[in-house]
Amino acid sequence: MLGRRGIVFTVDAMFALAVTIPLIMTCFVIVSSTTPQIYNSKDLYMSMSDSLAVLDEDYTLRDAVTSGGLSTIQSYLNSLPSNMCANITIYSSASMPVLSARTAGCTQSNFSSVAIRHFLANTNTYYATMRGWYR
Amino acid sequence: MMKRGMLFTVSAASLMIAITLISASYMVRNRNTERLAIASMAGLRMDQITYDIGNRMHQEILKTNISVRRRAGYVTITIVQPDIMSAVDHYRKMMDYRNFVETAYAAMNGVGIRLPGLDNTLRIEPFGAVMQVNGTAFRFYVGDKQALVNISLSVSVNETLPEDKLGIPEEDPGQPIVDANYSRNGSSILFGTRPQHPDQKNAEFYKSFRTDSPPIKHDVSYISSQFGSEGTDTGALRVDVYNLHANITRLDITYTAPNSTVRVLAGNISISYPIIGMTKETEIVVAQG
Repeated sequence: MLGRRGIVFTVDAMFALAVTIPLIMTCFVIVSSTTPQIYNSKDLYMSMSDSLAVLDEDYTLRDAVTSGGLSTIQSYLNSLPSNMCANITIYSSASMPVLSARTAGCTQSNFSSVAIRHFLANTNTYYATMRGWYR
Repeated sequence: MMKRGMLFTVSAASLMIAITLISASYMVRNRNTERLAIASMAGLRMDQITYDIGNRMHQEILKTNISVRRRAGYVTITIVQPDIMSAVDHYRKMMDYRNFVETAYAAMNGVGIRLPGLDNTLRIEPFGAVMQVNGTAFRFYVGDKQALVNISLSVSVNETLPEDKLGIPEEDPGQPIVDANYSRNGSSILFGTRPQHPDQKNAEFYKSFRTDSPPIKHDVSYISSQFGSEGTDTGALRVDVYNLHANITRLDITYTAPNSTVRVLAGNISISYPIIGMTKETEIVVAQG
């Protein structure tokens, strides 16, 4: 009699575990599928966009094209917050890359956000892309 | 015993269903929030693109600097326009820019961009005035002639040849006053203040230059400006140059101030964001006051 009751309890407990564990795992997957990526992307975009606006308004982008030098852009990229990396590439109006610089010590990440801004140099139109990501 | 077992089972099942429902609703709410965040991101990008295209466009491409200032019941539109010369094709420059934005720039941003009405022309509302510059010709059609009070034009030329003929039109008392001041190397070479009827074909403020070496040639180069009718248009201020390079260092057009905001417009921007099916259309406001 006691043996039978023990078997029933065991089977019952195993059945309960078989139902509960997948259910809890499913809930866990659903809850953890929420990623802050879109918010990170927006923050990064705003940051990259602001940075490009600054570099455009103070003619750093134009001067880089006319002089062919990247030192000012490079030092700007190196002075970004330590958790942030970025790459600036300047293209001609025919979409040919002209200049490119990246924050020192950074490697490209899969997750990034890109801002684009155009400007004039030597009466020609160029555009700069600034791709940013977190270290 | 059996009843207690049932109670446990029902409680456990209720708990699990509750957890499942909470998780599902959390997921749905989260998806909605993400959708809103994506739309907000798209809006942000479109704002940024609009600003990037419209900001300083005429200043950088055509070197046109235009501002609107209100004071004591009047509103003055001030224009600085360098490089009135044959070597500059203002229309082509704007068309090249427009083509660049609508193709390469739009593709790089992953959006569709159209710039209807964008060329070398600016409109000033609510006066219905139009400004246009192209090569050796500058035009300003004042629009609302009743509201027009005064036009003051200052132009510098780079000509080094000796001065030649000078022409200043007759006065039309009671009409809008037109000031013309031409200079070179900081010295005035023509100055005239004349009331001019906006509907008549008035004479020109004219200054030409000559060669002194034989045979002497007159009117080798010149600058002229005229306010009045031009073809079928009336209330037209035109500035023309021939064989020289002129800069409008300042053009003030004064009107009686309207109740509404005076806006200088340069066509429209239409941006379509295909991912979320959003389209934004807005006017390009170069200046307002």
